[in-house]
Amino acid sequence: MIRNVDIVRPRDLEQALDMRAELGEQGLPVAGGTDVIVELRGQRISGKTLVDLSRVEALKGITEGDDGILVGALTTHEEASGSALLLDRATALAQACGEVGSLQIRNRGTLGGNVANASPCADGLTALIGLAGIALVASTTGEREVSVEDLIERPYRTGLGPDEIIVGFRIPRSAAGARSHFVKLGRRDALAISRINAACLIETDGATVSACQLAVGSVMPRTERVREAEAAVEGAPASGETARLAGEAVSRRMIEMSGVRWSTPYKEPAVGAVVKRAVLGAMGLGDETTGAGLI
Amino acid sequence: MSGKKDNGRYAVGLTVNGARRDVVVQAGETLLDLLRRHLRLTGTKCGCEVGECGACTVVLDGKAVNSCMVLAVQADSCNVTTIEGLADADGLHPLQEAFLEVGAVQCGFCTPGMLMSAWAVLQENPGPTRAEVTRAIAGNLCRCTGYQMVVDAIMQAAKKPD
Amino acid sequence: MSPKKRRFSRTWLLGRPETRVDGLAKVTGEARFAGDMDESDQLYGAVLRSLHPHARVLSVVTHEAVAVPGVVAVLTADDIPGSPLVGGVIRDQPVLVTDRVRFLGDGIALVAAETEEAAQDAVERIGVEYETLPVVDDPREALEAESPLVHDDGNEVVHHVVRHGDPDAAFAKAESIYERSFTTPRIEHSYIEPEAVIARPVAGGGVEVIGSIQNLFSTRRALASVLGVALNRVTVRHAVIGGSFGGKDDVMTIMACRAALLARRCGRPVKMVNTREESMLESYKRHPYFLDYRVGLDGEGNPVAMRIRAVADAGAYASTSPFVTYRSVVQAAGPYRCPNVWTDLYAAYTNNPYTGAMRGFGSPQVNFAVEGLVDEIAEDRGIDPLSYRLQLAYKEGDVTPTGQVLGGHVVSLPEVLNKVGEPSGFVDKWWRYRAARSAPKAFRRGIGLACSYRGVALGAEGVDAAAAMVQVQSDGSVLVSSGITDMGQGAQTAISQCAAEVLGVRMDQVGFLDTDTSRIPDSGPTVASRGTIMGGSAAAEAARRVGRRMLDVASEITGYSAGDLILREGGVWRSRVGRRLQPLYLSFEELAGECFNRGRSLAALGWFNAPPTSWKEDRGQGIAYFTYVYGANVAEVVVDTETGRVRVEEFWAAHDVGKAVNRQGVTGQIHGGVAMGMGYGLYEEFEVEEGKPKALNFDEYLIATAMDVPKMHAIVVENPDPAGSFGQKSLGEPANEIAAPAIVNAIANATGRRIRDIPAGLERVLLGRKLTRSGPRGSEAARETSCKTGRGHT
Repeated sequence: MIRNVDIVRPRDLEQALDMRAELGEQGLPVAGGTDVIVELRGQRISGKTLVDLSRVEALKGITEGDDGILVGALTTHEEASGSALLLDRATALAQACGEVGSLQIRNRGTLGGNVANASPCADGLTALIGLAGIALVASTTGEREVSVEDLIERPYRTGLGPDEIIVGFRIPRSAAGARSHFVKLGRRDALAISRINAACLIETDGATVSACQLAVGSVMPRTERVREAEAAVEGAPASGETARLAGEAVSRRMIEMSGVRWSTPYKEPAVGAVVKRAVLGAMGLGDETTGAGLI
Repeated sequence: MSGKKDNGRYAVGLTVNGARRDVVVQAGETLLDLLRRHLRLTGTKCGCEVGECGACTVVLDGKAVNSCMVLAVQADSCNVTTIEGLADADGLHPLQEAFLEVGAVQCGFCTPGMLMSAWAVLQENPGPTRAEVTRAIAGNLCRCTGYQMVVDAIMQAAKKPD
Repeated sequence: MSPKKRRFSRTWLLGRPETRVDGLAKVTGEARFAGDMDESDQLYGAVLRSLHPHARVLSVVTHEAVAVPGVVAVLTADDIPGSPLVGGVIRDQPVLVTDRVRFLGDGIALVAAETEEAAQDAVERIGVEYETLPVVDDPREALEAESPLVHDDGNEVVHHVVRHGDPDAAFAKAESIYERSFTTPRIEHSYIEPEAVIARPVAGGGVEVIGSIQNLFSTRRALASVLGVALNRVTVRHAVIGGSFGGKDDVMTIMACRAALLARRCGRPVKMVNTREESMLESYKRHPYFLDYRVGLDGEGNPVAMRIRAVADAGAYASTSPFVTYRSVVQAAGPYRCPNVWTDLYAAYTNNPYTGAMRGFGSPQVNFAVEGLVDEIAEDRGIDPLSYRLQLAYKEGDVTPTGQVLGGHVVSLPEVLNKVGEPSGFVDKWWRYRAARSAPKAFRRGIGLACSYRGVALGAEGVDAAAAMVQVQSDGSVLVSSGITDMGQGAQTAISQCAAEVLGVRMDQVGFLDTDTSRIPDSGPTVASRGTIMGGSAAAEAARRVGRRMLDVASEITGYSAGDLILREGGVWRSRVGRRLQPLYLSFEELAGECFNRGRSLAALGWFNAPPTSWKEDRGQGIAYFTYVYGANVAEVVVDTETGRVRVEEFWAAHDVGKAVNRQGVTGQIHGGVAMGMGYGLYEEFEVEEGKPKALNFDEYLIATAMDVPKMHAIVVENPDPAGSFGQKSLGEPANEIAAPAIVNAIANATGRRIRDIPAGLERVLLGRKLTRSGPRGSEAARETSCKTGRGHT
């Protein structure tokens, strides 16, 4: 039971955008509810009006377009984790969604919600950023595209305007033979909040890495691509040593960004290991090295 | 179709265990509140209200969900199955029989949610592996059994014709 | 009934995996837990709790709360007619505080209202003026002379000693000496059902209370005292209880008293249900311990001297701390021969959440320490930990540090050790994994062992007796009741089985009545794994009394001597035809009807007194417990040495239960105990900083999920004990008390690193130490910080 809230239930996107525009800061979009309900439950007076997007068909579905895969904002984590298209073409995203919470949470929680909530530990968010995903954002005044990475401003804060709704995400088409991989470290095997997560996409040219995208979550103020590490990998041989160097580069970047903190003695080596495994997985070298399933 | 009533109250119509139910709820009430407070279906338990323990698990349009994480108005026009709907006139569901036979029940507080998670996975996948069953109940915390006999029971029930 | 002659088997249905008597209602959703119950005219109760872990309460202003629509009553401590203080051992805990709060869970005022929302609204409108006091948050500092006081008569709750032999002289001659310190965490019981209660006023100033209450008789004593009425004016019953593990005792007593006060004031039933946050904030925890061990060894590696000092954090109130630490002081040296042992066990008040009974009751802490230490010594001496333990382990006739000679029962420590050692391939794997840890691999395997001995039931803590009632109806159906509570562990089933065994009836002929304090004598608390031995033995005794009367009637009918007849398989048999049973065509149903027609009483009360124990407090010597159980666990783990992640893959647990009454129940207890012990070893810590809990729900307080638990092998060892009716002893707590050290020893086997502070989380496994966010600790820092509301108050 949440106290002192109201709710509106738009039937379609147009109505949803109208309601969003009308309510402004007082409105709070809700889809699966797995973050919003927890958040509001602890509040004595929220005064919010929930804009329930769950009936808006335009926000559903996973389809392949000319410029990539379109993933509707209402796509649940479970749908994403079982999507043949994503498993094939955006593996890291399917893997990340499959690692979220529990089946009950995955059945409700949506990718749009995962991004809009902007938790620094969100699994889907790391994968979307690692895959260079683009958020498709709409309001009554029009649509815009913004990279998911740029949409996140700081923990629990996005650049979404009070009249905007995330419609979905576009994952750009990657080169044939590109592969992506997601790795999560939690304290237990289910219902775990990521202590560290990483998503990596790699294209190879023969035995050499020709392109690398690498996003890391839970260790920096916001989830982001680590360009220094990507640069260290690009042009290098697809090998365990390259993966190790990528991990070290991320650890260095983490300390640059956050300074040496109470958690650094642990996170420095552990981030290196998680990143190394994400890179190895994206190189297709994962199985024998990472001891699949342990973390 | 849900409709707004006075004082922030909403009319919700849904199917619960095969029967059409019409309920007037508040905007902030959850499906768990709807089931326990309004319909007096107390087999669904409230353990944490943050979607972690799984004691409130019901099956909503074929999917296992934490009913504490679903707003009651969002369940409008939906089909809900709770623990009270598992047995039928012919007797216990094979899952219920297996839980009793194998010894998957101790204090019983997690049992309704555990059974609904099990039921949902068997609906989708009648011949699951042990790993699939374990994954399906990973969102149902149990402090008594250590889970092993719960998984044993679900595997035993999966072998029986429904 | 079969007309064929049958081979006489020693038991009828004892030891069989009988289905739980409460199982059917639990799989259909019909089982009614306290939160599922409602009375038509009930009010909802809510509690205003403290905003500060330590403060003087200067004023409480309630008029705004009283004015909230729907509010019927707002109460403070001034409204308590009887004693405002409760406490099973030391009466130090207020139902509502008068002038001082000592931890964040303390209650200041109560509200009863027509709806839950109105009650909550009103609670938030009560104004409290505080004057904060320095926070005591470290029990070791609490014992120092200059520490601020949590209670005016001093911070020491208890100091138990054991003085056996002369350790100082023996240390002087010891070949080698080990000094090691260990810490164990405060943990939450994590029953999945939060606390709930309904109190209903009854004529004569009394109440009827039903709730998720573990120890009905102690709750009744408190209710009578708080309301200022006689015990016979108060009835306490339990609903179906959703787990307890020692946890639904004092916290339920307080909750029942609060609901009762509101119900008496309003003249209407009052229901109270805790949210998970309220539950975690207010309920007591398992004691954190700080343990220092010093062990001297002779040339063969045998311990010749031990000095042990441990300090337990009692938190704000004494609760069962004096008894918890009693068990610790008795068992601290582990199940190993040592002629010179001096132990000092302290419990100290702090402003942390109070601590009390939790599954294990003072044993998990000392077992973690001593099992880690013994394991380390074995490795240092180049002996595998199994062989080393077999060298030191108690055998019949050995003397414990309390001067008790182990005997009168099978001292089965070597047996349980071998029964986990062999199927797990312990010795071979231990050497192999140890050798493999020099290889540069991220993932390393390890195998670990731990064992224990444990005193059965309450021991010299207090009076140990229990009652059960057996009533045979005229149609041959049977009703059993007892003063032992079923919290999920299966007491009703096991106790029913003991009665059915004696009467020779099937389990489906037996019904079990939920415990009701007005209908069964005070049987003491359902704690200390005493349910099956105490309640089961009392039920067997009651059934024997009824059975004898029934056989007298059978003798009258058949002409055979009653001594030649036996009740078995739902009827009467002749027992002395060779070794075979001779059937008589007289069913139990017919016999019951005949007894009824002849005016014979078919109801009897059974009373079981535990064998005597003794204790000399000044030197800690005596027969601490009337008998002991023995257990051994082996854990096999994989450690990710790059992240510190540990996966427990397989687990073997052997426990001597005396006699398994219900084999399925035994297996379930072992599995659940292992999973809980695994959480203790790897995940669980109820962290508190300056009196404030860091997490109050299952999103941050982590217990094992289905995906975390290992494949478990429950190995049941049976050496019937003369004390129990059928030789049964204890299991619930033994099953939980050595999983953590087995796992941590396995981590050491995999990595070569000894972890002496649990939980062995990612950081400890990777770095060998814990990382904490906290700045300067202790009372100095606390003085500078003003506390804010914790989540869960509202």
